[in-house]
This record gives sequence, C-alpha cells and structure tokens, in this order.
Amino acid sequence: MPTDDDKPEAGTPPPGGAPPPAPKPPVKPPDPLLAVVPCPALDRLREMLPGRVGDPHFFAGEITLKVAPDHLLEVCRFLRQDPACGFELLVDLTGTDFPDEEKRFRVVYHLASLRNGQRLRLRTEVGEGDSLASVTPIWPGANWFEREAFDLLGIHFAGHPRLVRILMPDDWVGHPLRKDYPLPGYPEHHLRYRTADVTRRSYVDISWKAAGERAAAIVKKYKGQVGAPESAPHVPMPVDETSGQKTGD
Amino acid sequence: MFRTQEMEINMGPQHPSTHGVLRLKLRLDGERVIDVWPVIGYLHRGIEKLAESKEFVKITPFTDRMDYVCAMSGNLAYLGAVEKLCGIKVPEKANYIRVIMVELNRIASHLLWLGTHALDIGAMSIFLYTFREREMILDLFEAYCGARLTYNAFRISGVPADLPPGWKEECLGFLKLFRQRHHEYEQILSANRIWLKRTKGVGYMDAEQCLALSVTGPVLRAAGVARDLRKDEPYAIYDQLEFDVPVDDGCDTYARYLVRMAEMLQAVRMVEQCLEKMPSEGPLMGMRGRKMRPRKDEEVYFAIEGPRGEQGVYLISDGTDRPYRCKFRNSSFANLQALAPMVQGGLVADVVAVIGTLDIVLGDSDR
Repeated sequence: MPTDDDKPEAGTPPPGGAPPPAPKPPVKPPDPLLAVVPCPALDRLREMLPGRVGDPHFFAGEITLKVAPDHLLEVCRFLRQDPACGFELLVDLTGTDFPDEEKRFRVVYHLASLRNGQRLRLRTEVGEGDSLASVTPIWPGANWFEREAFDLLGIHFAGHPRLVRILMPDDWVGHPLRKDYPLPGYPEHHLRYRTADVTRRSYVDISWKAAGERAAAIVKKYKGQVGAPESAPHVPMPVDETSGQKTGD
Repeated sequence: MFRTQEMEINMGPQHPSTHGVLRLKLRLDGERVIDVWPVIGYLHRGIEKLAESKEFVKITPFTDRMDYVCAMSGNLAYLGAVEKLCGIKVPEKANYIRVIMVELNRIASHLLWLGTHALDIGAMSIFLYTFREREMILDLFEAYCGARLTYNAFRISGVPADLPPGWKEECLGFLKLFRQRHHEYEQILSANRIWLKRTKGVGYMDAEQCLALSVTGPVLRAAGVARDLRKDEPYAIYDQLEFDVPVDDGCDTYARYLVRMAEMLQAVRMVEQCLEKMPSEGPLMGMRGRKMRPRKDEEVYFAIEGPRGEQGVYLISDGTDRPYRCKFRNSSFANLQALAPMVQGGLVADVVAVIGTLDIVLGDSDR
C-alpha cells in the first residue's frame, strides 16, 4: 500500500497490463540542488595542479572535491598559499565510517576563504590500517579536529604533534563512531557503573541510643588518660527508652 | 640563593570559573603560566552517535542540549542543514520569527557571558544586573514556546506557532528598557580602572593566529577581521535587515568585551526591524512530506553565526529518513584551542579572564 510518501516510479508498468509501446523519457526540470556554482579557486587549482584532484561534485551550492591521500598535503598547501585560492580557515575536519567500502574511512576538510568569499570541501579516503598525512603544519587548528577523528573513529594522522584521545577517557576501548560499535556500548563498560554493590551495603546501627552508649564507652575507656577532659564529663543524649529515638530538640 | 621549580597544577573540572566541567593541567613557574593542556570530554554524551539512529525530526532536541546557553542557534543550524539537504523552502514569516528568537537568544547568551566573565574577574554587581535582564528574555521565550532553556522552538520547514497575542508589545518594551540597561553596564565597566587592568592586553591573539587556529566569532572580530556569516553568507532573512558588524583591532580581552557589547545593541536593532517588517499573515510551515527523503549519498554543510562563532552542521544522507552521519561543528570546541596560546607567558589569575573571554560552553564543545 503506497503512502503519500512512497510514490510509484514514473515508468513502472501497471501489473497485469500491457507494457507501454514507447516509454517516453520523462522530461524533468533540472534539480536546482545540483546546479553548478562557479568557483575561481577550483579553476585555478585544476589549472595549476592538473591530475591531482578529481571532478568536482556540486550539491546545494557546495563543491566537493575528491583528492587522493598521496596528494592531500600538496593540494592543501596550494589552497592555503595561492592568492587566488587563499583558504586561510580550516572550518572543520571530520571522518565517516563506511565499513562496506574498500577504504573504510572518508575524511572531509571544510575550507573557507575570507578574502575571496569561497568555500570548498575536500574529500579523501583512508583504509583502516593506513594513516593519513596530518594537515597541522598548514592549519594548526586541525590539531583538535584530528584528535577527535582519531578518538571517535580511529583514523591515524601521520605527523600530528600529539595524537591522543580528546572526548573519550584515555583508557577507553574502541572508537564509538564506527558503524560496528554498538549504540549502547560494550557490556564491559556497563559493569564499570554497576550500582548493585552500593545498594546492598549494610549499615551499622546508628540509633541515638546505640550512639550514646558507644560514646559513653569511649569516655570510660580513656578516663584518666592524658588529654581526656576530666572536668567536663560526657553527657549522653536524652533517649526515649521505648523507641530508642532522640526526644525533644 | 633563589631556586625556581616548575609546578603542575590541576584547575577544574569543578573549578567555579571554568564555566562547566573543563579541566586544565597548568604548568607553572611561580605565577607565570608556561603551558596548559585542556582536558575536555566530561560532558560527552555521544550526540553524534545517537543522531545516526534517529529520524531527522527527532534530532532537533539534541541540539538544545549542546549549546544550552544559546539553544535557538543550535536549532537553527541543524534545521538549516536539513532544509538545505532536502531542498525545503521556509516561509517568510517563519524566518522572521526564527531570526527574532535567535537574536534575542544572542542577547541572553552575551548577558550570561558578561555576568559570569565579570564575576570571575571580581566584579560582583554586574552579574546581578545582567541576570535580571536575561530573566526577562527567558520569560519572553517561555511565553512563546513554554521552555526557558532547551527550547526546541523550530520545526523542519518552519515554526510551529505564531507569536502569542501581546508578545510583540512585551518584546518592544523589553528592547526599549534594554537599551537603557545596556548603557548602565557600560557605565559600570567600560572605564572602570580595575576592569581595564584585568582585561587590557590580556589574552592577546591577532588575526593571523585566530585564523590559523580556526577561531571564529567575536574573538576573530575583536582581532580586526569583519567575518560575520550573517553578512558574508546571509541565511534566513538577514539580507533584508540593516545592521553593522562590530569590529575592534585590540586583539585582547577588552576588545572582545567591546565587540560583544556592541553586538548586543545590533541584535536589539535587528529584533526591532523584524518586529516591524514581519508580515502579519502567512503560512508558518513550508511544504514537505511526512518523512524526509533526501537524495542518496549527498552531503551538506550549513553554518550560522552563533554567539560564539561559526556553528555548523555537516550531514551525510543515505536516502533514508535518518542521517548516515551528523557532525556538529561547534564553535566552543574550535575556540578552546586558542586557550593555550592565549595564556602562555601570562599570569595564573589571567587564565580565568581568558576562559571567560573565549565564552565557551562545555556542552557545546563536548557534545
């Protein structure tokens, strides 16, 4: 039963009916989301470093450019230093796990140029055991972003000044944003925070009567010794004999 | 005769001036800070992992819990990304309401910053005044959406409700009052000798360093760079509003104070214009299906100018109604990197001032 969201395919023949003799190709207006946007930096990059980057992909006014991991540093350095590109701001760096693909992690770099008013997304791929060149020499701000990608996905960045975990505890096992990491976490981690041992704790008798007796016993034990107050004898708390509870104020 | 010894001191995570649960490992030489290693992650709730298992509509409340001081901005950044991914148009009136709420929340966020920042440095009274005005804004929010901190006030493709009757007059009354109160804050602080001593030249960071460390927002604008996404890449209806981008080239804590103070007045201007220009009739929600069906294997990044800087959301779709990946680029996380270069060589007491001037929210940085 198709709902209002599940529209049937335009060219699907009705079941049981004869197939239409000549299916006309449906004339669709071009999707505005896929419109090509001009980007001078992109033209400059493809002119100066031919063959280093793939074809750009346009979606919703954004440009995505695929770069091979081997050429990453070269392309980044060019984009940072060339005056026509001038991407002086690394806005974001993050990774995504695609476990079914040959190279497991996709890493994206969101760049922005203030002086030219452009944005660009670089995209590269890296396998699980491989490492990717760190861009901290070009944008020092990549430091924490790369630590985060290492922490949550386990992507290794070669040349990073100190690649340690940032959001998870240092002794954490596993990388939570990987798709094979279970959403509730591993059971070992649950055991850490089990509260059963705490709730089963038995308490000593702390009624006022018992406390008064214990205090009297202590005073008796130390009576006459150095430091024990001779002149101020211990006055036990007033105790209600029937309930054992403190009476009055 | 004199012997110096380096000392390692822990500051936080329960230190009152760290604005949440930030821990700093300070390496000190007497009163001088040699190095600092910030430890974050105490508030990490795995929102990005959670978001991968939820429908697009169900992720909006998470964005309230990240930057809880300015939850409206978080909502707007996330919804803007979803609308960009699915190609949804937002009606004009809904955009006006969104901008009113976001700008009011920017004032509230800056008021909280001003109060706590001044309190950390030692000015007690301003804290009481700013929270008095912030309370009025929260009352306005409560009248609109029922919540005072985690609003969840917008929906995909629009806003759920019109402004309640009488709200506009209340808001205009508040804005009028706020202009006077803003003048009072400036009288208390701007020429205060203690305030100047504690902020001038403290936490110096120039434009080049800011850009290298991915620092955005008022910190970058106080270094002389007029970077404001509301002007540079206008979203919603910011291209129809008249406002200035306050810039200062002092590069220090005092310059950031001036920039944020001026931003509050610009926000007041914007809200006033919005209330005046807002169409009285019109749809509040745009056209969309019951389920989000974005194109398969596409990715978008959408960013807004939050009170702390560029607040972006990066989404990857796999054609279903859930995101394959949802990454929040939060400004507190990026700006916190600037802490170490700002405090190195300074005094221990200035660490507190620098934390305040960066205006971090730990829920924002830890996610």
